[in-house]
Amino acid sequence: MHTTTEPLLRVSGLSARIGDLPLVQEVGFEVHRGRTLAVVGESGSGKSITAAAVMGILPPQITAEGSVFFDGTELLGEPAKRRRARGGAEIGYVFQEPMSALHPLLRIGTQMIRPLRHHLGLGRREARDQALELLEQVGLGRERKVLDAYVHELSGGMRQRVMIAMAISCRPRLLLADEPTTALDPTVQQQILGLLVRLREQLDLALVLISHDLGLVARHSDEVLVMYDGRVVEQGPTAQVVDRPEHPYTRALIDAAPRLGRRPDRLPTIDGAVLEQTRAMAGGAR
Amino acid sequence: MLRQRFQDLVRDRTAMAGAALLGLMIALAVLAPLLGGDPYRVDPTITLRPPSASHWFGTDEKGRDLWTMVVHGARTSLAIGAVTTALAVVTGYVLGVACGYFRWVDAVVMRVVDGLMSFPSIVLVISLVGVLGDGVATMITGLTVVLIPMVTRVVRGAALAVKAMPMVESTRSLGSRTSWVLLRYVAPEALSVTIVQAALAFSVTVLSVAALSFLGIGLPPDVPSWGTSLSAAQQYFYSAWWIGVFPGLAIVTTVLGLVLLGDGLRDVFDPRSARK
Amino acid sequence: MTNYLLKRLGALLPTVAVPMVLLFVMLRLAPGDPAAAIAGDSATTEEIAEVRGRLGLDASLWDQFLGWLGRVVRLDFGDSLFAELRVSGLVFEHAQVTVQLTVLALTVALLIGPFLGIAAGTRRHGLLDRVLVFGSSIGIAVPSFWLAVLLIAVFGVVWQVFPVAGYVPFSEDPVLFLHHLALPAISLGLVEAATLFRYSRAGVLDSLHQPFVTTARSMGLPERMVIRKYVFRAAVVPMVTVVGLTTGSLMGGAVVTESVFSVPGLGQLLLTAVQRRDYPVIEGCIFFIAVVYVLLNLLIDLLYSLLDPRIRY
Repeated sequence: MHTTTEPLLRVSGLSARIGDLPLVQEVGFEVHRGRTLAVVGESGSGKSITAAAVMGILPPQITAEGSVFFDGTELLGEPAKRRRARGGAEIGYVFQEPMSALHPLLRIGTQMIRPLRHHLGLGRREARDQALELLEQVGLGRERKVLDAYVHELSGGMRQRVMIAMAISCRPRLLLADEPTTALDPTVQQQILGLLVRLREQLDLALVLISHDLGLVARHSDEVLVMYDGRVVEQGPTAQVVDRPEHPYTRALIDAAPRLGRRPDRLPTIDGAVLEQTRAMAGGAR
Repeated sequence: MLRQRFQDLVRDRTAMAGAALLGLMIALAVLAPLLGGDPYRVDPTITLRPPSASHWFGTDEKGRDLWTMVVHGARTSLAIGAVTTALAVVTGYVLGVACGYFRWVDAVVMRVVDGLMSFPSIVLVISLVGVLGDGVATMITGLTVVLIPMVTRVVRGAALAVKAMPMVESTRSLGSRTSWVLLRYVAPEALSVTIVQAALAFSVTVLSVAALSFLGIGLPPDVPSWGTSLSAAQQYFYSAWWIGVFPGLAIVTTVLGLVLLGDGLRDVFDPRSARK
Repeated sequence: MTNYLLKRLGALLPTVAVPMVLLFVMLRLAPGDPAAAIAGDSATTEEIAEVRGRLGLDASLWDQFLGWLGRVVRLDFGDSLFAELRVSGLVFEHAQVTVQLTVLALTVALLIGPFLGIAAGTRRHGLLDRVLVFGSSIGIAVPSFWLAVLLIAVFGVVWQVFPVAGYVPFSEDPVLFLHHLALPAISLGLVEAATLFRYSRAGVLDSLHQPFVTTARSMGLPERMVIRKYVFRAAVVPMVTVVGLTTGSLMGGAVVTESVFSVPGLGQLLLTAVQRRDYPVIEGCIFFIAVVYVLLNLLIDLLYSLLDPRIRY
């Protein structure tokens, strides 16, 4: 489970800019399989741009340079088609707002099944079975009702679970989660982070967790990278960074999260997924 | 801020191309008496002559110089367009601001506006002219009635948006006089969307005047107008293509100028709806 | 649902009522004596009085209004002033032709506009996009009746591949029917295609960068599939409204185009009525068009709820 020789993802000297305006400068980090890296910073610090650059989904007006070395291949400069084909199959991405990240006019099932058929070559029925399996894996149960639902009929937590199920559906080795819990209620936040970490263990994923809330992700990450104004200001093992922050900005982040350290190590998490789901399905029937 | 917007507009090349086209047509209209001959002079000896040095655009079926007809047609179209647009924009602006501000006005006016908006305007104008009888004044009346709702609705939207702005709301709750809030905040903001509507209203008028006179409705038949000329072209196109081409080009130039300029104005003055 | 429909009908009532009342008021405000104008220059005083009686202009304004309202509500518009024909029959007969022309023109517009809009929107700033955007600006500036005149000149007179005027009912000969309506439908449809093009291009541009499209891309689906299944699906919903508006303006445009091609539709009926000041027929035409409008709007609402699962009535 611990550090293998080669990291799955090694980013070095990564910069991104829009026109002459630099957004991200000289960012570098490594992630191994089975490990979690937390990228922390306030909005505008460049953490989401970094993730989008790794994924290759930067808006066209933003250009990236440097190196994104994934599993023995350099991704930056790879032809767009090859790059695209890695999405889902090798790298999964969980978006911040599942409400807008899922298509409002297509059933959940339709959206889940398309990548399954495309990447894994499954038939319609097999893909549907697989989708049910995935829903169970993310704690939604083998619910056909969810597959037939539209995104607006689900609760916030369910949406994000669906989003995660989709992101891991084609067996990626790396999972990027961009503020996966920001749009959610505090209790649901913990459940979703717990789910991500559990999946990381089960599927031996490398997980990159992006957040503005150091206090929230500290418990779930092995290493942490603090970004400020497009640059890395501090990085290292999470415990070390939290206990002995070197950069004043990191200290400020820790102060901004007073929960940190004072909280019991394990929150009494209620396994509320089923409850939550029942409630939402009833609500969705409106 | 107005200056900044004006500079943005000047930098927009498409909008400037539109302004140039429109400027050309306005120049033709204003200088028509100098540029062309007498639009009422009929000369039966030179009917349907092709374009030549003495008659640049040829002559029409009554032996009138087509170039003269086109520039005087510009005069007719743009004059009616200007008057109609001015009437519609001023009325629509006042109604729109009132609707945006006073609920009871809104309730009444918007029902009427909705009713008129969703009706094909050309049909309504034709019918109104039919009921009121021919004449320039009736045509302007009919067109104005049709255009007012368009302006009113947009101005109302802008006025409502301004009214809901926190700054304005707090001013109102502090007990500012209604007239002052209207003058200070609502009216100027609504003015910028009105400018965009004016370009739109103008182009609708030019197209409608052309369509009406093409159908032989509204304008007396001897008044020079592009639509009337094109109407004759239906009969003589085979032997005299120029009657069917030049007046049409004049319409397209004018409307294209207004559409391009209007798009540019919208980008500058009404950026919210420009994204749509 | 029923509740909703009733509410919508109520909201749409002004669409019928406002133009009708406007006509009623305008006729009575018109300068001069409309009865004299209708009866003609050579009419005797008795004839004028007779016309006035038929129009009901001799009663008090309030009585006139009540009587008029009663007749409109019963859908009774009386007879044409110039022929012993019921207005309702006349309108219905001519409306069929206009509806056929509108449907054909809409088909032309739908075949061209959205298709090119998607093509241009997905290749933004490319050569095709620029050419098409410029073309659509011209398309919006070209009046459909001028296009009609040009089309007649080229295809009707010079090449003689299409008839320049006339109408053959579908039931008589479907081929001739299409042959006669081809040019009118194309000249009407092309102009509307320019509008549809602009909206569909804007819709595609808008959807291209929606988060859910980025999600589809992040899942590694090929761009073609992303555009066809995700972008287009999102862009099509607002298009329904535009198509509805288009259908309405097609019916309006048909009035002018019909006169160019001598197609015996509602436009021609209205035009003749306007020229002769056949007041009951004008009223009938306006009423019919307004009612079609209302029905069209309801249809759009229904389509909307079918296409967008978020909308339920």
